[in-house]
Amino acid sequence: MHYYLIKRFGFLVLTIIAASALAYFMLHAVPGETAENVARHTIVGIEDDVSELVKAEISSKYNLNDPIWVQYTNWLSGLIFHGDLGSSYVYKDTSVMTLISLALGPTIILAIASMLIVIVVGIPLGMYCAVHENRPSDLIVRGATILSISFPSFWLALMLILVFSLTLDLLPVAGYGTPANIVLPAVALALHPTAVVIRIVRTSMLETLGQQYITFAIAKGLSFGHILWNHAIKNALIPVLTLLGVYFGNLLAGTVIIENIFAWPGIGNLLISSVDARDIPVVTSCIVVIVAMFLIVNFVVDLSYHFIDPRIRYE
Amino acid sequence: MSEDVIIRPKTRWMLPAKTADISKNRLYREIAKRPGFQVCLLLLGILVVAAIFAPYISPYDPEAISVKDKNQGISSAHLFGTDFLGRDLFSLTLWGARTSLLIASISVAIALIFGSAVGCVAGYYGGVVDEVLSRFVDLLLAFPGIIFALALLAFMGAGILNLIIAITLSQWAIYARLMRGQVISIKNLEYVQSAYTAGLPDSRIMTRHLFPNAVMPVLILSTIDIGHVILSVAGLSFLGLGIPPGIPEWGSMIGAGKEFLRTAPLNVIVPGLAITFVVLIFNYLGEGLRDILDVHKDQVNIE
Amino acid sequence: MTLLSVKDLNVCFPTGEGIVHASRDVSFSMESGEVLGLVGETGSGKSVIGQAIIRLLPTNANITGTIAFNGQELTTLKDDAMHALRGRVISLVPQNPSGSLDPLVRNGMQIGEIFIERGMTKNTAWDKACDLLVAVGLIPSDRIAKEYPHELSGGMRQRLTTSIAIAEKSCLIIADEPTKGLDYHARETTARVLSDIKTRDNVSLLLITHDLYLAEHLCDWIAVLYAGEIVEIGPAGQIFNTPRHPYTQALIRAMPKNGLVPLDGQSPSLMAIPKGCCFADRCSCHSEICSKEHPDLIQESLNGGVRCHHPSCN
Repeated sequence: MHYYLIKRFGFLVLTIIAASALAYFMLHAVPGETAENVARHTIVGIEDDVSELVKAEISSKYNLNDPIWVQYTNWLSGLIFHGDLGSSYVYKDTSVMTLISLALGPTIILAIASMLIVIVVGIPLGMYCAVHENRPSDLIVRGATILSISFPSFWLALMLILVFSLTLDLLPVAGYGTPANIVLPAVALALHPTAVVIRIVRTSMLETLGQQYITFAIAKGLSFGHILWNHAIKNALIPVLTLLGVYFGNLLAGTVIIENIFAWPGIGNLLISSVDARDIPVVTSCIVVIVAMFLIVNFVVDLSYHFIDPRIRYE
Repeated sequence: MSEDVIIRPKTRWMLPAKTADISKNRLYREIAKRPGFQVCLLLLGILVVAAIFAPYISPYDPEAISVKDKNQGISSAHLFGTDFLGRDLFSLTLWGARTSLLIASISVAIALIFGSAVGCVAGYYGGVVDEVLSRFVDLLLAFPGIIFALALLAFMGAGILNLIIAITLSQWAIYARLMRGQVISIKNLEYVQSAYTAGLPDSRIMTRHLFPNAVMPVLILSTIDIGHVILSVAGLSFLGLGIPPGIPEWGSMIGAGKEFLRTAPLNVIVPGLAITFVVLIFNYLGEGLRDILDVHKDQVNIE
Repeated sequence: MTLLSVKDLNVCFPTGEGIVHASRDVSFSMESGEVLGLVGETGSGKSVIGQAIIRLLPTNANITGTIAFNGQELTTLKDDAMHALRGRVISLVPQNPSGSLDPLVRNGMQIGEIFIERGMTKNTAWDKACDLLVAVGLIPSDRIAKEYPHELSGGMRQRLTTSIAIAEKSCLIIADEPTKGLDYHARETTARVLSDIKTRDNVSLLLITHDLYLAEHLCDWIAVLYAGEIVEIGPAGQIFNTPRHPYTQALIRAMPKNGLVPLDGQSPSLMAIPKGCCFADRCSCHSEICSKEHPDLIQESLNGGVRCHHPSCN
């Protein structure tokens, strides 16, 4: 078990580092342009050509003249040894770490709120559909799910604003701070994964209800409730867990657009504004943070199987 | 909830499984049984034709700005109303279908061909080749959703070609992984082994025996994936990273129109419904195809 | 006194390809304390009969006929009344013990949950479960109770499901293929456990099996099934010593101790039952009437009957 854990953890760290390298090289591929872009976005009054002098100054300030792999190694060792992600080109040389740590909280809050909706709505509805297979209520919910996975989440967010904020005036349009602020973004973000989870829970539950141990439990004379709670649900949720990990990733990716719409001060918002400003160090770091969160959640999901399914023993 | 809901086992009395038979006749028969599927195929056909002939069908020039007609409601002159610059929303939406369908189909097609080729090679050769390719695929799949495409576009800038490149590069890994699994599951079957024993070259075994037999789930995935890609393209354009201004596209229409959400919601509602409609068709078709070919339920959805 | 009386039981399943007639005109009765064996090859519809009695057939099954248990009609019994019988009065030893045990539940709790449902505390239920494990020879019971089903061998799982069937003092135990897929040793143990059950107070056993050795060893009565219908029924000794139906004769000749003589051909598809005698195609003494007229189960004496136009022809 310990050996497996260490191996899995080592693999997790390696993947995060590899992903960071990929993101870093992708975004720093053209050195000359970077200096020019930084100049355009930071120095007021530069319209046409950025002078070579300014470029050289910026290049030396951010070590842009080094070969890209040297830049990357420096960046990585800064991250590992000093917890430093470099400094932003745009926000008056604020450290990227500060920006990220300010944005991380709101994103985690939003992601958890959405995940709660996915779990609290998706799992029971999926179960309900399975138990009422092919009855009208099942057909209605299934129809609703296929419609839901076809909505663009950002459009749904705008529709929610139109209905609940602009028309009914029940919830704030955007912003961060009060509990009312989180409702619309969390719902908009959760709709898509909830629909998918309903479908998967339904399928998994139907498969479980067809298992012989359910039939035998009926033959034992156990009550409906007992069979459902102690046998069917537990077994049906095991495959769903992996998918919750995968869909957590989609949810994180979704925050990029949703945070932008609701002016939610999270990683996604920071990422988009940094892309607009071509603030490459912040963009790189945001992407690495999102990837790391996704991988860590899946790592935890993987390990949790050990406690849930007695058949799995890590050697 | 009455007890009889569960009190009988849910298994069905089943006949022994027949060999997978996906002959053309069976395909037609299965489609004939599903009116919903036929309607979707028909709608998709109409949509493709409408997109191709958009220049002839659309009642107005989608670029024709007419400030005095801005933000009009639904009328006989303007079927879906007009946008904040007085452009006809129906024409814009029709032209937007061209952009969306073009980008989605091209990038999914390239991703499918490239991804399944890589997956086929990895699955067939195994060993180090497989290890290296699979690790790289894993690495790409560690970037959730649109994040990889977003990173690429952040570097390359907006544009139709860049968008196609970004989407293709972020999608092919899924096909590679699925194809690899398929190939591994069939490469030890007798007909492949006998082809190998007969001394056929690897390339021939792959193109003649492995690929055609493993490709069905990949094709189903691609149907659903077109829907996903349309959503991604719209999302990226909404953020201003996908399609540059000037080309009619649903995501950027919503992005530009969101300022007028309160006063002229049609700016946002119309292109959003268009996206939903098209994605719904592809989702429904993918679902139907999966039922018809009876690939394992919901598995295609997983990745 | 008659415990179970099945009359004209027909079970069929409508499928996309046609109607599967899994069981046709099956009639038999059992007295308290008796062991009746339903024997036949795979696909002869014997398990369907057991499932019909305990009413665990899939929802798409179409059932006609009567099943009287202690004078109570089971086919029309209300769901909750039927539910009250399961596990308490009628128990099942399921086919495929591996699939019948919930992989996430400890072995002890697989038994214990029955007692907890009846209102016992967790500890008492656990202790009673351990006692039952000892009763079927799963020792040391406290260690095995804490393990999970996947940690047991096939034979041990079979004994565990058997112990669940005897958890309550049922009048009727339906054992569905208890030796299927077991090795020689596990089969012996299962046979011993089942004959232990048999000697218990007044338990009747409906033994569904293709294992003729087990049937010979345990049963008082035997009904031989072929293509969904009973072709011969009678006391075990009579069936094994003087079989009258050609199929029964063939089955007995096919037993290893009798020389392992195989029977040619295949049983008819349950979707296309022939008009005449189902066995006609494979029978060595068939005549014209066999392929034209369906034989009735002829009650020759009190001791059972045979469904054949030419009984004892070999």
